[in-house]
Amino acid sequence: MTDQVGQLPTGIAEMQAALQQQFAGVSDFILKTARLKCNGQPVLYAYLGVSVDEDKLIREVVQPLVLEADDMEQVRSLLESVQGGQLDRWEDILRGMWGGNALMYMDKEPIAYLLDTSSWPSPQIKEPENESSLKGARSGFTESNPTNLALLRHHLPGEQFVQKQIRTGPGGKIRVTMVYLPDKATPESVELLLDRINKIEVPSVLSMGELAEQLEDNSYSLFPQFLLTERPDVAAIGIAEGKIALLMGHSSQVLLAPMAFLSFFMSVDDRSMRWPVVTFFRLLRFVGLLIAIFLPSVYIATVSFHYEIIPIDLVLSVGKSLERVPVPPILEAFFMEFILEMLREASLRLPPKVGQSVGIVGGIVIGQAAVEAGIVSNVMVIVVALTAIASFIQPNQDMAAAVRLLRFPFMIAAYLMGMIGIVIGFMVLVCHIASMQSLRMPFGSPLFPIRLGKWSSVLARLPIGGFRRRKDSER
Amino acid sequence: MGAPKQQLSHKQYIFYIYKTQIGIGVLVLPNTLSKMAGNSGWISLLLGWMIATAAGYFIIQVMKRHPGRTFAEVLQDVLGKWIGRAVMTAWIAYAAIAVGVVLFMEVIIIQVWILRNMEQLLLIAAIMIPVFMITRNRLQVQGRYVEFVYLYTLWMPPLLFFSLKDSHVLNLLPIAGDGLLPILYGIKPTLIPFLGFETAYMLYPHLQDKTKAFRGLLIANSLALIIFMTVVVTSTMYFSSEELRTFIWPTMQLLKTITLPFIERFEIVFLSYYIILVTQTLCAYLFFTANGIKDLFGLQDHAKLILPLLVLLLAAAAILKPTLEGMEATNAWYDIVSIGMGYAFPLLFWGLWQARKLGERVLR
Repeated sequence: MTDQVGQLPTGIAEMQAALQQQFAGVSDFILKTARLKCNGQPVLYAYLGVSVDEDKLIREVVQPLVLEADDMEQVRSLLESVQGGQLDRWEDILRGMWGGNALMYMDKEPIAYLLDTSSWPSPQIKEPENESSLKGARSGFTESNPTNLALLRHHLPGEQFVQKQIRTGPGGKIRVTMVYLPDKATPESVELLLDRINKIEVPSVLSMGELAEQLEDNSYSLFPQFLLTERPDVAAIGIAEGKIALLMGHSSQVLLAPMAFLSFFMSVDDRSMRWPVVTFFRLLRFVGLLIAIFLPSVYIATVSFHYEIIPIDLVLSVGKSLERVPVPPILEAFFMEFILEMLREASLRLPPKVGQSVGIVGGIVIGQAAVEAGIVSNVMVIVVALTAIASFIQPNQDMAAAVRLLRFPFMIAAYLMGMIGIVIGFMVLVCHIASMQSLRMPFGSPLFPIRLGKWSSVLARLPIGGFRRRKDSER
Repeated sequence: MGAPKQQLSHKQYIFYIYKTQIGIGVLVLPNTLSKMAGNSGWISLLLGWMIATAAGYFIIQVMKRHPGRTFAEVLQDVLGKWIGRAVMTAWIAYAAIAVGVVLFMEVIIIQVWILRNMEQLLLIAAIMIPVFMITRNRLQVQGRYVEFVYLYTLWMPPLLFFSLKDSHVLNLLPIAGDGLLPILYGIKPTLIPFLGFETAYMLYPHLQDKTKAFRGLLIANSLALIIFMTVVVTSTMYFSSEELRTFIWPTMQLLKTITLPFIERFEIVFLSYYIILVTQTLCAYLFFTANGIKDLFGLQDHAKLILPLLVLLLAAAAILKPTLEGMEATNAWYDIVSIGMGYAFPLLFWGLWQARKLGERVLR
């Protein structure tokens, strides 16, 4: 009997006993013995049936060993050609077997081979559901690393990118693949990211979001600092621009770093549509951003402190609608915003068939009944609805969530100090973005620090390659 | 101590000084100026700009010869250890009081124009939040903030032209009608809003491109001059110099003329947004204070000093309970102090420095 960390037992019988004890509760554990053709030496092979391609194992390893290999030299080279690792520590063997490798153990030379015969269920390539686009690619990342890498290569034909396999975490259970273009990515960023990956101390990371949290610069910030995408075209564009992509075997999302604040407001469609249209859409998104953050708070500030800035005609109708409402605007706004967030969350979690009823309940109850009952005012319903639409047009869901959350502190500030409160909040927000970093790159760039030259490419979209007229075109 | 790591780009340096100059001063300038110089205040303003630029020239001249040395170290190099430290202490006190004066003044204006019933201490504390967040950062981040301030307040000055439709160019005539003397007296009130360039003493060691330091200062001064000139000329044209003397904040009165179809009393929005500009003035002087203390005592980091300083300021506000009358009395003597620190000191210091250099050459 050996303990888990110690040396391997010598002798096939001992090994067999040790393995059987170790995998006693595992139903798909398979253990077989065979004899080599060359000298009749017994070998033992063991694997977990579900995660191993048995066909491949038999066809490529066991059959040649038993029927074809004429001497030990051939045996060894054969094993090395499908080798996942030659190991002499019990711990490594266990991890390898749980990770889908088959164990091959020989008696005379007490050598264990891990054979890379793993076969995981590989999901179909589907259209990315959560990041839909009009004209972008129709294939999304899957939960299998080789497929994802293949998709990336497919989208970046001919590019020679660096592809690093990294094992990290205590026990090396977290496997991350890092992909970047060596001539585009900044070496400092690559090194910094590598360093952060190697310093991960949590034992396991299940999703890309968890990994991002382990790697980001400001963990207390509201804003996402890395882009998580399930679109290979987005990832490919990012890599081509010099960003670093991280892939995890079991995640259908790819992490891109470093990111800047404004790049969260771009979508893939921006590249494939006419430039004036895209420029208009971008403008729409930025106006939407401002509305989503500021509209409820400006409304609260106006009706509770500065009603004199509303034109006289409007003040009368707003006043009439406010007259019936017994609660202060801040409560009214919080009530409405909370209901709205609940509706959104409900429609996200419910199965689609039930989900429709949420819309009906929300629409009728909030749209009409609440106003008629005098709980909220008409204007507040309009404000909240506008805010909701403005936050829904943001292309990135992480950023949209941050923006939605951001308006609550602004509403409180507006309730306490009116416009002054909002402006103070605005300054705090700007200072926060200006001091934020993504992999030590300024997160706010090109807004702060200002790079006017880059503004044209971020805020608007000009024709790729500049304005031109084809010389050979017929007039 | 070595060269400071915090770096400020040329553009950031220009905006830093320029936006420090735009503060409370602009709001009162037409009033104080017309009291002295009547409708020829714009000539005084030009002269004031020249003086400010000259003072800035002396600042850079001295700092240029001590590259990599902080202001506190330069003072000690030139004046000797103890006098140098004493002068540095005076500068720190000057900057600290400047923070207080600007902050209290701002809060009073807010109370008068926007939030009549708001608790004063609460307002002060609220404004301190962004000031704290900005100033505790590296200078690099402060530079980014200044860029933001510059860009996001660009829309504000053109609004002054709204008043042009009801103004009379004749109000500017006669040019220098009362003779030369009122114009010369008018220089004094113009010197106050130009203050802010003296932060160059503190910024100089942090500049990326030190050769362009004076040019940057000149640009900042000129940008400020454009704003001041616009304010003075438009308000003189709109109100006439007689009427101007009766308004404490003529610039705000000027903004009342703006009417938009969807918004009335636009000056409320304007003044709320104006806090962003005043905050930069606050941050600059607070950084001057904190960084000065840091250099004087050879501390590692200025960030830890920000919070105690702000708490002290809040305590001062709680005890003094600043009022408009009180602040006007304070301003009366503090203006003289700041002219001394901002204008007389650079000239004097440069003179001493020259004398010392001459003396050393003679001794050798």
